Amino acid sequence: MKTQKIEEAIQSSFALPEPSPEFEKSLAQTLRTQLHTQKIKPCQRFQPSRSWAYALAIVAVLAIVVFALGPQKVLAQIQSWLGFIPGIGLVSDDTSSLRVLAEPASQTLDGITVEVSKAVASSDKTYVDYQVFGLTNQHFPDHESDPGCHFEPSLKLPDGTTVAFSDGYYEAVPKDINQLVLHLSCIPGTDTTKTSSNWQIPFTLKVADDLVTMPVVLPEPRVWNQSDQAPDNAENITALQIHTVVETPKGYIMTGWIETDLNIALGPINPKLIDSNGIEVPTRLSQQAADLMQSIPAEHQFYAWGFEFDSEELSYPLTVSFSMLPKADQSAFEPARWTVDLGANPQSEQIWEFQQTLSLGEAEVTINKLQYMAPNRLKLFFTATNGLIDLNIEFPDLQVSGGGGGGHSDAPDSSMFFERSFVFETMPKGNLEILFTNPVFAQDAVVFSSVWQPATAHAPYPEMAIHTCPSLPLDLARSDLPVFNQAYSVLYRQISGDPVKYELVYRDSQAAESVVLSDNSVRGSISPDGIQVLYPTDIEGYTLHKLGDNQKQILAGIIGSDSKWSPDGNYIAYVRGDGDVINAPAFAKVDGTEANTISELGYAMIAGWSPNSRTIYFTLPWFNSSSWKVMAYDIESDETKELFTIQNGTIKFLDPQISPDGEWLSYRGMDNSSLYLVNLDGETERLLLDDAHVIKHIWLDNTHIALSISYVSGAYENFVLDLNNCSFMRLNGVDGGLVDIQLQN
Amino acid sequence: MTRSTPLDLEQSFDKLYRENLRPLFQYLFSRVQDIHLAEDLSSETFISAFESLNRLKSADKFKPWLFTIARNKANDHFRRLKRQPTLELDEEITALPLQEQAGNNNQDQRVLVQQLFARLKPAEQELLRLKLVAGLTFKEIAILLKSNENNVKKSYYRLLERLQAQVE
Repeated sequence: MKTQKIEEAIQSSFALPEPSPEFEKSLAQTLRTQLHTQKIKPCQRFQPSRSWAYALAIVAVLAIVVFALGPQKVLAQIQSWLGFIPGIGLVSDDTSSLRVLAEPASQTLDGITVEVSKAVASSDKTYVDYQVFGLTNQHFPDHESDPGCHFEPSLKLPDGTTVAFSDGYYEAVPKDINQLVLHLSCIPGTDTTKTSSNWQIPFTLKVADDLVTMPVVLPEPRVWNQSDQAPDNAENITALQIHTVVETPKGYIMTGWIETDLNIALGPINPKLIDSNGIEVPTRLSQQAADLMQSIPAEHQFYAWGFEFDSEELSYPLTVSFSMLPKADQSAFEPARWTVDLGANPQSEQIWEFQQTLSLGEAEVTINKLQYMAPNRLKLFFTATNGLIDLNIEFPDLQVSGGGGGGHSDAPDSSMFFERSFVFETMPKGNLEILFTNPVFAQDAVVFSSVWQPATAHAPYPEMAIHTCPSLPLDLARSDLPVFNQAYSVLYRQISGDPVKYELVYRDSQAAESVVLSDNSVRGSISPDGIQVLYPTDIEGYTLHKLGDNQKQILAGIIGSDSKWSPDGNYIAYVRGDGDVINAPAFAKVDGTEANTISELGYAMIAGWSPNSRTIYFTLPWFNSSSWKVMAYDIESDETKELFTIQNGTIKFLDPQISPDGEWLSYRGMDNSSLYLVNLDGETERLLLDDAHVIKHIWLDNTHIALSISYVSGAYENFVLDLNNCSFMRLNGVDGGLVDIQLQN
Repeated sequence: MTRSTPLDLEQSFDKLYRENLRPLFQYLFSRVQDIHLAEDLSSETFISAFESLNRLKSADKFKPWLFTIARNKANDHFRRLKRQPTLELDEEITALPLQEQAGNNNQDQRVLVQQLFARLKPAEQELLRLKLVAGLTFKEIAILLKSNENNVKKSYYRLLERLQAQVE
């Protein structure tokens, strides 16, 4: 018996069943829901998301309700939700019977602090969350395949009884017990040999007299509309269901789902909210909307939708609609086949360029390029016409073990540009056959709609809304914006013809040409006088590029990123990229001498300098939360001071920035899209731009902020926001990802 | 601002799910021999994997990462039941005594292979599961087991040769 035969015999002996289609579909729905949430809500660093667990708990509650009461009574039961607590979810108690964390409680061992940061106890469940500070890269497992500590924390009553935990919640705590203990046998995600064990953190609950909940408004009346373009085979229920409406200070959050028997390829997409005057109401998928969507029953999560909108000057009722794209009848489409010869010995980074057009149904697929990326990945670039927005790519007789990619279009009616990558077990050679199958067409969209109006029209709370600037609408005729033409900027942009390389470019907005600084960097900072740029390019250290005479100087040993010049131009603060600590805050003189590490704690981001060039502000992350400590370091006294904690920052790229007058700190919010301001006393916080797709921002002066906005991955638009009147200007000639900018005097 | 994302889950979800569900489910079934339990553990594994995906530095390591979690889930299950210790792969695989003779038909051969498999060390069983049920490459198994790819490959083929000799 050959090796292959014994392998087959062993495989056969396992008698393995196939996963059932029901299970396959159900799990896909669950995971898709989670994925949809992750899109705007970053997952925690090392712990399954609490909010996801919360959704499961709600789902479990609803499932039990359905089972016990029958479907007819479910709506009434759901209606018992009284309020919505952002970050926590729906609650059925009024605030007088809710209890919350009296004050944060913590324990510190070996320089690591575990803090109970949030707790809400209702009559039916208890929610407790914690965060960790002081972890460095050294505390995590050496190998990423080692998940580290994976024990969930437990909650204990004063008598030592453990409160049962399931699906993100602990069971309800008796009303007369306000003293609890959170127990962690180890810190999840960390290497248990490198961090302390058996953490015990006592904390206290108090009556939630100052807890703000948002009232739940019910869909009234609930209207089930037959789809207005439903195909003939949609005989069963096809409807847009409104599930929950929550009143916010400025308007509403609305969530629901699409109920359909159609075989859907993509959706719900293209949300529309129209008031009774036919005016389209701007909607946004805010963090709070994403939170509320998690309370949608599991069986409807696959086609769930949600958004937030302002209610000012609305005329009711409102019509909400979404589009769904059904799968086309694949028997009507012959797969498009294409064979390419990769040669006997394809080389890493090798590129094959084509202009090969294939027919797939009504669409034309034009293959533009194929790229080999070591060790065994191929990337395919192609365009498609006639509304084709998705398709499958198959390789007969080849095992594909991974990959990714997607498509985008610059305008709704133009061709779609696709990039798809494929990982093979071994790199294909010679003739490679590719099949293009299962096309999905935009023109097949089915629109689902429903109507809603509140019992009483809700006027926005003006005191809560006055400080937020309206974001730039995606479809605004931006060419009409005034042009801002007084800046030196550094940006990065894709090198023409090379999808994986970027070049760093200096741009004087009044000059005709840009200056390419580096073909291997995406970070940098401009000197206060605008004529020098510092950027990391080399393992030996930063490059100091003097633009006037085009001289470059390597700052030997100054290795890192995220640099910021002191206002007097003498120092740079940066995060170190060498040594054992990942991204430790540091500073040095601009000539590279007198380098000092500020803190051994990693994952820092430099926020900026005080106006007198004496204090460096930086942020350090709490783990398992969206919190960041804001720190101040005095370079003369060598003292570090903790200022306050940001509670709602993104864990991905906080982008903290100090205003030139040293009064404000700006940062990106949890949704990776909004922009916040907080006074450096930590007491006055302001949402500056809500869900504005801000990727990067930089203060130009005390009243103007440059913004890099991206709606499509890899495509950036750059603006200047005037804080005096919330008006936008277009940054002239700044085409690419904004890296740094200086106002021209 | 990062230049590229190692693994864009949203864009590659369908592929990751489609390609891994079946081997994951079957691997877990081969461990626990119960369809519903295998479904539960598969669900837990995918959820854990996707929620902690931001720690994964390379898309190429998704599969070993996924199966690391799956192994842990299965091991946790057995720890709860106190039936079986955590599996570890031994570098050296010792010889087993020859099995009794079996007939020539396929059914007999399948029974014989089952018997041979049952008498393997847990680590040897696990190696076969990861290769033949989960469909992992030697490189992926090496990542998962924190071992050397060549050692894994050597152990695997030595094991196959031994089983082959026992079957013939």
